Amino acid sequence: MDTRRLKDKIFTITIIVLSIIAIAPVFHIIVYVSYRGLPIILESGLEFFTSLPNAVTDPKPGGIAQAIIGTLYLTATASIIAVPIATLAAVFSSEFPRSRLTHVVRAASRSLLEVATIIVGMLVFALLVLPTGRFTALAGSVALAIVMIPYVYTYVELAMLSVPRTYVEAAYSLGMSRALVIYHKLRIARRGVARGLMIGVTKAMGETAPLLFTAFGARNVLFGGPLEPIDALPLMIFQFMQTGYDNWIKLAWGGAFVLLISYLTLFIITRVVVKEVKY
Amino acid sequence: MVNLKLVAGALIVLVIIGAAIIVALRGWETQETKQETKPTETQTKPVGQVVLLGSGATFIHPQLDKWAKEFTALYPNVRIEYNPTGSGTGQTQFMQKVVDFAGSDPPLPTSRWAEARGRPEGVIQMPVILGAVVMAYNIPGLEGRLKLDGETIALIYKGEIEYWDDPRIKALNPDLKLPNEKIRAVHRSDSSGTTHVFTLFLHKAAPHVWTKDLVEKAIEWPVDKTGRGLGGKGNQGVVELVRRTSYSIGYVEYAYARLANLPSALVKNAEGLFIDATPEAMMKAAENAYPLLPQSLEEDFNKAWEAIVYAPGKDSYPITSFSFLIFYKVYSPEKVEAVKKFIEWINTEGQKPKNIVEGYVAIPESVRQYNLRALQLIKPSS
Repeated sequence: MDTRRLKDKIFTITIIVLSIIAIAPVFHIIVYVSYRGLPIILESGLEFFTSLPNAVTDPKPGGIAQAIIGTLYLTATASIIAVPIATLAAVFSSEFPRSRLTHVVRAASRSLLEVATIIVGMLVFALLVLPTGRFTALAGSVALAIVMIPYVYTYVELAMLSVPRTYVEAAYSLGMSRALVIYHKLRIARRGVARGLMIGVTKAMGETAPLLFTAFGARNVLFGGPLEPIDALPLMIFQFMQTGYDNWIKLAWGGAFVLLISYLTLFIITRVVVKEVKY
Repeated sequence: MVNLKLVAGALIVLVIIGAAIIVALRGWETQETKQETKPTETQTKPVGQVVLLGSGATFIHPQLDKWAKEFTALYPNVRIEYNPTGSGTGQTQFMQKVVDFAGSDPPLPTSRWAEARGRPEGVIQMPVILGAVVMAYNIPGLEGRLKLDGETIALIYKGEIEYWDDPRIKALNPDLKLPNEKIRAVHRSDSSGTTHVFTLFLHKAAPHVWTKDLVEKAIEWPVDKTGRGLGGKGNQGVVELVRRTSYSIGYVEYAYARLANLPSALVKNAEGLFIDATPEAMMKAAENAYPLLPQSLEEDFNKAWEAIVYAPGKDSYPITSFSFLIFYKVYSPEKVEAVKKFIEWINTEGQKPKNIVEGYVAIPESVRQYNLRALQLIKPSS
């Protein structure tokens, strides 16, 4: 065998091995969380999704209904706040790339990405919790929205900018209005836009730190309303894992599994439903 | 031209942001009015339910949650939610008046207590449950129970005692076959009330070895400089490290060591006896510290909290500690009865064995009676 082919083989093998090493942690997480979490859900059955956590002294662990409701509620409300703001800002930046406002928005978004999310929690605590004297689900939604915005903004802007310039020019030469052009650009870039939304939503679903000082966590009620504290899956996992009690550690593993499955489902749905546009 | 477009774009963005915020606000407003007009329809919470929020020490979390659930089963119109943020955060949130009560391993520091006492809301502190720090160890092949005193533990954590068969450890354990292995000393890497109690014990038991400047919630561990120190996050982290590391020793909260089934050393108390960490020995320490509690629940508890560590009495376990709940003196008329009922319940029914979580130790009868004085102090705001 000549050396060129040998080099080629070595290189290919190295790349394959490195790729496996790179993605191994992901599989490790999926397998391990399923291994620890799934038996607990199977053991508890439907109760796991419909009841509240039991006390640590109870023979059975109970369920995590309040955390599932909380995560659904917080993610939905945070998206309602964040998605319009971030998408519109992204459309504006991609339409007016050289505008001064665009520079400001981009810099702000980039620095928001760098800020530790606990700081976002502290900020919302100072703005919404301290003046009213109460922890609320609303404060949690706002904190998660602030965490989401820079992710959605960055991805949607990139997606919009990836639409070929020639298409845009063609659209204008046909006499389309600017609004219509933007609409079609969003359609062409839908995969990127959907990816941005998905990353924003998963980010909001998995955050613990911004909720510590805002949503607070409430585990003795299913849903107390927007002006009362609310629980969330990551918050519950974090706080239950720290205890040495079997019941709560079981619930934490089960919760981690639920969170993992939600991620995977979201990921697959966006992949399947939103088709790529071929140029 | 460009400027016009820019302004128009900015305006559109602003309008839509405004619209989004209004929609979000309207969403919860309508939901609220719905609850007000048709209160019978809300299924998730009983009508007029009072919610008491607490925040603070992680240590008391499982026990407080047990109390909260049992209490709500008896009084369905009161719900208690506790967030384990840590003693320091709990105290801060208490001072910021964003919670109804706080949980804290140590009482409020004197300066904070003075500030809280000077405010119209006032402050009431009470020790509601006992904790203890145990010396968990992992020495493969060792038969019998290890015995230690404050001075040897201090020397281990100072890095001066290097091997398990050091003559100073042998002197306390003449009947044990100690291995010639290096000691790995495990400590907390995070700031913790457990560390505070532990270092306070070392200082009180061996003041010449463990100086006052080493008594804190988080310290620079001298043993780390020798390379034989290990830091773990949380009690659970220390438990895991001790379990995994042969020839190690670590200080952990009694509940965690008990749940993990780790052996723990008998520790020499102030009267010179080696005492096992049992609920009885901890309760004895609390009883012996009771006369040192302040006259009123409104006073500074720091002296009393220090007094229970290395408490007098021959049956006292030396590293026992009180864990506190901190309340205001004044509550809104809706909350005041709920708070009083809760305080009354946790100091009577709540201390009975069926309501105490495994690993926690009830306070003695004398301290329960003492805590009930709070009922006379708490008043509704006018």
